[in-house]
Amino acid sequence: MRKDAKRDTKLAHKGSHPADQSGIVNPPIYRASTVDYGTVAKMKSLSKNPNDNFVYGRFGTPTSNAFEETVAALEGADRTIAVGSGLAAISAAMLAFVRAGDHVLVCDNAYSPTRNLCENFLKRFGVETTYYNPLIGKEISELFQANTKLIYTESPGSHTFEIQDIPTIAKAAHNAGIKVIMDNTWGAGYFFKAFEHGIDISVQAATKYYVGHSDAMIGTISMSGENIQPVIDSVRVLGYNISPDDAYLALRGMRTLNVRLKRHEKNGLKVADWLASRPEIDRVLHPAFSSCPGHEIWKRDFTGSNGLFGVVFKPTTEIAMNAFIDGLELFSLGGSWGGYESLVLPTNVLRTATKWTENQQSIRFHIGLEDPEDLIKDIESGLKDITADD
Amino acid sequence: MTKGKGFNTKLVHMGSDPKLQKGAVNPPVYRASTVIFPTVQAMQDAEKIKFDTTYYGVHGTPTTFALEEAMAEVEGGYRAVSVSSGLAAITTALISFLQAGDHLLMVDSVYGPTRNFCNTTLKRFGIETTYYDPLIGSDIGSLFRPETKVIFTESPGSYTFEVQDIPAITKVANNHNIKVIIDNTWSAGHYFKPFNFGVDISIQATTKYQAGHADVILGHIIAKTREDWLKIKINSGTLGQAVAPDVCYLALRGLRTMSIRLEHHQESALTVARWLKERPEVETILHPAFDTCPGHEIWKRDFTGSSGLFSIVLKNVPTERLNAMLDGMDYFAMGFSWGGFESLIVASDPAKLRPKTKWHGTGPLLRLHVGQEDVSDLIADLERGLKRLNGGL
Repeated sequence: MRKDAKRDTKLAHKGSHPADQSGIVNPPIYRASTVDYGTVAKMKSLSKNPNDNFVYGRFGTPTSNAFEETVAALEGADRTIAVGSGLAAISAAMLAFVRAGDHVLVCDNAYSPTRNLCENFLKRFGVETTYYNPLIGKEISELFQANTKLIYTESPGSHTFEIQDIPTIAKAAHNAGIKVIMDNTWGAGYFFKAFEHGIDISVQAATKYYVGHSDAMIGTISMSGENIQPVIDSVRVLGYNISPDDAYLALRGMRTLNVRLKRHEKNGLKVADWLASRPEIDRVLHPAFSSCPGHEIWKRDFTGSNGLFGVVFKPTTEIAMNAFIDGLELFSLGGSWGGYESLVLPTNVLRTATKWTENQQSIRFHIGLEDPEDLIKDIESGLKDITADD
Repeated sequence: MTKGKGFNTKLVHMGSDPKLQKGAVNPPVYRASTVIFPTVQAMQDAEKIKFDTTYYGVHGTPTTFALEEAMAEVEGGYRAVSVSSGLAAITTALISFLQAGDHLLMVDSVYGPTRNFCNTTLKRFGIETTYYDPLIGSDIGSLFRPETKVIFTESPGSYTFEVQDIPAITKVANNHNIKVIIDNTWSAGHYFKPFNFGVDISIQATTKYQAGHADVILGHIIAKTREDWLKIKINSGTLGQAVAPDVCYLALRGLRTMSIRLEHHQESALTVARWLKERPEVETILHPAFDTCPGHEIWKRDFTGSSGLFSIVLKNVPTERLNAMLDGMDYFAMGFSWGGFESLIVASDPAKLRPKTKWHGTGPLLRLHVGQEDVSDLIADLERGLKRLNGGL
């Protein structure tokens, strides 16, 4: 593939090596533990550089390599390594750069299992966490301590959608020798180029838009240069890896990432626009809307949006909200997002450094590939019930 | 499944509930991230029992649960947790019971990547490891400190095959509230029942005999009590460990034939080892069923059989001759892991593997995994190999 290939071309061609796979477009599913080396000399030469070779199933197969190669190309990283879930990507990436006695800064709107990892795991191993306001910008340097090793960001937050000023945070961090890890799942490496904005390590829940069909759990960690080896060592030492079946499904998902994302974006904007006009709704928390904190930064740094956004209702009762959610026909209630189907979830506003001043009756929508007119009708009939309760 | 069933009956029936799977004998392969709830109330109720129901893909699906039930049944434990490799099972189990400031006792004959985890990750997070002689027995008590929280055992060691006195170790450990973890992969849970000997946590590299076909990477942690199981499940969930349904299905499929495969591995390995014992090139046989193996008497007392993996120590030989032997093998493939249907051979230098206890062998160590081939072909392959070792052909 040419060096100047655009992102959509990369998505269609990366990870495909027909000459190595009997002329077939897609890589085979290699199910492997043992790899037969043939000779002692070959075994020794491979062991010297296990990262670049097919050495043992736990270190990856040509199937998982094909997926990793495609993600790295899209993210603009030298290397991607795949692990068993988005959370596993977060845990392996963080563990790569900290030790007992260290301090980390984590955004206050982070995905709640990330907070749980800090509070119930890192703390036990002597790593202290301070949470920061996602809108902090360059003032983040006021929170730096001598032992601060890591800033963990997520932009936008996957429940409350604040967009962070990543270039400013990364600059301050790098001046102080601090690494910056970003959960880039919302931008999917497609609408946000983490490395061009100063991020050192980009993690994604590939479970979401890469897989795109709610049928596999995978995480990716992408990085370049000096950050590659610590992450690979962390993943290898912990024994993390992914199955070839999941790797195949994820790569298969990436072939349609662009068309799916653009439809999620279009449908998401249509439904959000309609919601913004409704009297029951106080605010739409969608990065492409000026009502979303950090919207100006989104306009500057992102090239698009997807199907995930929040809405804050005008004051109502929890009972009415739950009845609204329970009554939706096309929006399923469940965790995760990024699949072809629409979802709804009560907003999780657990935070400690900043105050959630919005109404507690907030929900998160994931807009799927259905006809948006049907989705709007579904929401509209539910909103009637909320009004009736008033 | 009802108690008192024969082990082979268990292997055929465990992890299968046709009523829950539309009558099919085998559980379906569920591919899942999102799990859908009919109402907010149902979701909140499910959250309270999230480890005992289908809640979210990362915590497992009915495919995972079927395999976990079977793994617990094989070992005689309460319940199992699936993770992405045998090494992940080891690291997750250790992490679940340790924190900064703690002390760990680790067997010196341990699998290399376990040692690596202790010397890098655990050290960085403030946990100190002391390596102990695998033959230490009840003297292990002399190494206890107030902050000792875990004893990790592996019996036999997967290169040097010392069989540990597990009941002696667990007896002193239990008196001090120290958790005892065993890497029980060699016996596959089939020939050694750790919970009958006081062990708290058993680990299997399911990659090996349970999967049995060199086509899966998977690990399991089996706990004796719900309390320990929950601790491991919570830690595994906190780290985001998840396994694919396909590998769970393949491992459960492997378990159905594990007993007959193991019998064949055992019989052939004993035949090959007996033949090697008579060869002048061989110094020692390190097979738990042979009296030249350290801890052989303990194996006779505690185990009900042996698997296909053992080592031999050769008399001193030049490296080129050894490589000529290994490079020319027709059936013994060279590569890591073991427990598949195929035979494997790897050379190793135990002196490098274990800095704390002394290694007495003079020549190189060869580890063999004896597979399902016709044993006479395997012996002929080794005979030709020894000829190359002697400078012939």
